[in-house]
Amino acid sequence: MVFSLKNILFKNKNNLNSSDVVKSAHSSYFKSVWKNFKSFRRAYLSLWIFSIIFIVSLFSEFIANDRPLFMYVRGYGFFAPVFKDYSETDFGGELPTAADYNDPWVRNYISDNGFAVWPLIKFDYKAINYDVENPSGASLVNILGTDDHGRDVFARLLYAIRFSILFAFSLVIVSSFIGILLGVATGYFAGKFDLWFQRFVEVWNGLPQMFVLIIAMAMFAPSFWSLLFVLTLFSWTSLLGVARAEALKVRNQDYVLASRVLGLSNIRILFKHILPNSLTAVISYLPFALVGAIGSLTALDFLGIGMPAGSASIGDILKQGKENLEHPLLALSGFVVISGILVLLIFIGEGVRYAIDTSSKKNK
Amino acid sequence: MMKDDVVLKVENLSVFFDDEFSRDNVTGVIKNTVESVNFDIKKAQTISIVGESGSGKTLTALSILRLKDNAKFNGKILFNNDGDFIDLLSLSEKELEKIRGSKIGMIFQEPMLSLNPLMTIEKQIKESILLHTDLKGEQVDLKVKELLDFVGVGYERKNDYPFNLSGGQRQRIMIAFSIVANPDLLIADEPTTALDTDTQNDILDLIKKAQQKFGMSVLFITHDLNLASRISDNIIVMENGKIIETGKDVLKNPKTDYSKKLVNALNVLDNVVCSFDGVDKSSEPLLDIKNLSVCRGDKVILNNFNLSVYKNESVGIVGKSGCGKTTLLKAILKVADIDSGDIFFDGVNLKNIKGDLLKSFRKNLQIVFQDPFSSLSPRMRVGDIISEGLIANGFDSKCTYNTVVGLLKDFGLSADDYFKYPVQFSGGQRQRIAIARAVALQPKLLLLDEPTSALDISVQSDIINLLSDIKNKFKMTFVFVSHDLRLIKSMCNRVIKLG
Repeated sequence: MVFSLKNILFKNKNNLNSSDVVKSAHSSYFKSVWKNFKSFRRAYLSLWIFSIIFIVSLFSEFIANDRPLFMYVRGYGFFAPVFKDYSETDFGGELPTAADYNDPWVRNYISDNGFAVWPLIKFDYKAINYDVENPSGASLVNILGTDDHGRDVFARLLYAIRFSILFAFSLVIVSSFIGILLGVATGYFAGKFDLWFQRFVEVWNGLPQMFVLIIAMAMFAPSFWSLLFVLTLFSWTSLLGVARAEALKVRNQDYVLASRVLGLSNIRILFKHILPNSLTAVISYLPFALVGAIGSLTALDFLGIGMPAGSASIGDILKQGKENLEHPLLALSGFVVISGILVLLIFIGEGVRYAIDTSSKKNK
Repeated sequence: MMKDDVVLKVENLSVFFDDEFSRDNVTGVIKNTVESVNFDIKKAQTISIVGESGSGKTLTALSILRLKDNAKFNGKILFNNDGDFIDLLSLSEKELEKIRGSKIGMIFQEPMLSLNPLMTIEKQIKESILLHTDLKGEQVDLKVKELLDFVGVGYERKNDYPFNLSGGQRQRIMIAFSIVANPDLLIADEPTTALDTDTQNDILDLIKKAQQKFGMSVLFITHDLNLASRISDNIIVMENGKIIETGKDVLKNPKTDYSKKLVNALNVLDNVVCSFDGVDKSSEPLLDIKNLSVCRGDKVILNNFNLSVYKNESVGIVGKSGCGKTTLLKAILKVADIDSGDIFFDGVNLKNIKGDLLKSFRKNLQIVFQDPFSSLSPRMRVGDIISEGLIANGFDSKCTYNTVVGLLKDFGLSADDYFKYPVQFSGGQRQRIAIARAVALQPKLLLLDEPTSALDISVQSDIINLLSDIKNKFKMTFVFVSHDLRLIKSMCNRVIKLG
């Protein structure tokens, strides 16, 4: 008992001592990758801009909303309508239904009995501006105008950016998880399994994607999850090839043979040797996969088979731009946003590839 | 004025790289990778630069033709261009192209990388002839014939692609390339390192023959002091980017400590004591290979191969590259398929081993690979690498940890190394880790696949000493694959020639 305790103590002490070494080894790799990435100015700048846009869009509700952030009504106290739905009676109004803060009566009531702090844009993605013709051009109230339902284009774009990026992240995580795992497995086991699986993938990729997507979207009620599922069906193969190629390369390394000779099981070799050593190359593809995911979502929305009608999406704005050519601001703002985001992501992807791949240093 | 018989004069050459890796961590001063090197090569002379990896010998050679893009230079490299000396470092890229290939030829270690795999050798040589000489039409074909016959590949093989040729033949083709325009200087960067001993000698003879015929000078870069002293008029020993000794008799009469160390490392093989006590040939052999045949497609790699290895023996296996040495090892390890024949280990036929039995069999049979850089997973800690086998064979974590730390200490590493990654170690240290991994399970039989050939000479001797210690301490049985006959002679009691 005493002996084993001593041993544990000894081990812990040793662990503590050596953790610095581990850290330095790890951090030196990531440090050098980060340093390389930073030296690729265009990518570094793009990462900053993209992060700012993404973080700002995460707080869309606080920037563009049709209800006050915060208000005070005498006798009833403080309210934060951003977080919670209130009925008018909660703060002394007349109707027991959810308060409509754009109703002139409610506005006047609040300003007479207290005050309200409004966000910069007084519309969210579905709030309608009844004061203007639809669609309308830019004005002080709607800085990018309104769409053909009278909804604020800026607010819709802001919410759409958030949704697109979050959706793209989810899609890439799910599809690359499946793709990398299967790719690494086929690459490692090679032989017959690989042969047949590759034929299956070829047939799968040969399916007319658009038709299948249209049929599938007609079968499911359009929602985040159904879209994710349907798009995953076709995007998981994109990373499969890279992961497989890397695994094929790694499986012939001596250390894999050594592990087999040591008596390790295939699963263990797969996860401890093949996967970590194949991952570097695969990671540099992820930003490009994000580009693809945003592109597919926008395309589906543009065709009207994506997210349900009324939800904020870049594809929807572009579609409206097509239908209302006399209001070029619609198409223009949609185009600037989608191309901007894709260009930023491509620059970031270039930077990641440059940072990870040591051989590409020269042709920067 | 300089004498006319000097072909190349290197004056105070320093080479450095202007990047983050070559700056001093503290002062930020750029360190020279090659520092103040001086030497000259006379007409028809052979000069060797000898040094271990990282000594700057290859960089010095590449600098002469400015083949390293991002390197920066100080000093002068004067080349005798038909009587007037020009500084190669001050030439423009365009002017330099006229020198490269036509005045100064170069051959490299790995000929496969220097040949275009999609062109026949005839086409490639023709291209070079048209580029570097004024020959036209039929003269070109004649020249190709002359060159191919001269280097001993034969004109009848002109339509072959590089992959049809053996390593030695590819190197011959490279030599044909380099002598197309009768250069004054041939730079040979480890041209024989990737070849086996027999072919090595053939290539050296060919270079000598070409030298005599065209009267060119040769700058020979090698890590092999023995070879250098055999062929050269003068030897330059380099360490850490500096020339530390120049002379003809470095091998016999080393003056500096470093040269002495190199020479001693060569001699260590003669002093290794390997005990072969208790080799009992009357008992059942530990490893018994009967009528083993292995084919890959139509190619027969091993044909009816027989071998018995007894307990505590050390058997050397030699043979040219491609004769099936590695295939044999893989067959013994049961990681490659065999076509016919039987392999008995400890009296059990490997064919019948499956499941749990396979695991205990694996425990008794381990291997050390040639290249310590590809045999350790770069993403795992050293401790995890060594303990992997122990854990897979059911040792508990406490016991494993203690065993691994014990091994690290025994093998000249420290307990702290447990948590480091392979990149933090040198080649020799990595090979120690690889050996520790193989020995950790105390196997009955250890297979060694050229365990020293990827290492520097001074490191080689350490590894050899370590292996003989292991042999004597654990009474392990070795099967030693190598093309280094001296190594085999000192470590093995029996030699088998394959192929």
